[in-house]
Amino acid sequence: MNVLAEGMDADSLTDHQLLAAHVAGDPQSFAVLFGRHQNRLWAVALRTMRKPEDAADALQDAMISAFRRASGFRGDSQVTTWLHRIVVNACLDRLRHNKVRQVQSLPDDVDRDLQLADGTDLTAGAERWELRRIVLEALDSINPDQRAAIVLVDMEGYSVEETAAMLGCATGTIKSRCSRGRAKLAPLLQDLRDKDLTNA
Amino acid sequence: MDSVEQPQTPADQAAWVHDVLRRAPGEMLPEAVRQRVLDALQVEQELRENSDFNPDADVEDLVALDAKDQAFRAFSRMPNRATDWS
Repeated sequence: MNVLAEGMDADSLTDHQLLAAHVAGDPQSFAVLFGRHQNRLWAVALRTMRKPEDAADALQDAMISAFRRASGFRGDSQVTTWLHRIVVNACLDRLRHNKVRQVQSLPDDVDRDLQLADGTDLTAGAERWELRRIVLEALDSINPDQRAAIVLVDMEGYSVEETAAMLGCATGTIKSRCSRGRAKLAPLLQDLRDKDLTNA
Repeated sequence: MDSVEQPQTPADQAAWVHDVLRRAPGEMLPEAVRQRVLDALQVEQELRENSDFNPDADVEDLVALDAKDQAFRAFSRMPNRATDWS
């Protein structure tokens, strides 16, 4: 099966259809699916791992895992939720096993071509980059489990129930992690209030 | 967010933090990372097209298979005891 070679428009296919095509042997549909969600998946990886180099490793691990395990997707959730779950668990696995890079940069120098989702690069939008920096630094100060819950609920907009399913724990646990995480973040984000960067 | 007053209660503070995080700018996947992931997926695709490749095999399974293979090879190299006793 080759969905794209058969002239089908990938944009017209749902995520479920793309994943089904991949499972059926289509060679391109998984890459299309990845491209459709790549920025949000990257955001989750980056905010959970903090360092772009580690986020890149985790994202790659996760996509290979999803590629291999696609036939096990039961279809009882959105495909994007399933992908997010795999990414965040790949991140937590790396953090728990301390599989983070000991060096600061990749040969690719990922930092060099960082961009915000709105296309703002490092040379523009200073206030938005400052907001990003402060938020990422603050996130780095809380433990990985709290960080993952905060990223999914507060930053990605998932419900507590969806996040609990992704992380494999009770809803009460997610509520607790978010609550404690926010309490720790509040003083660390105080600079934003003082500078009023959040309205930038 | 328009106010510069410090939140007064823990609930206000939590709501403020939630709002700040929600407003954090989105991220764009760097091209170098995107290409790296696509290259890795291409390798996976080529492996999948190889009939000997089992995409459902866990790493643990592969390690176990390798251990069995090595044990078998070691066993094959053992001297024949009947011959040794003769």
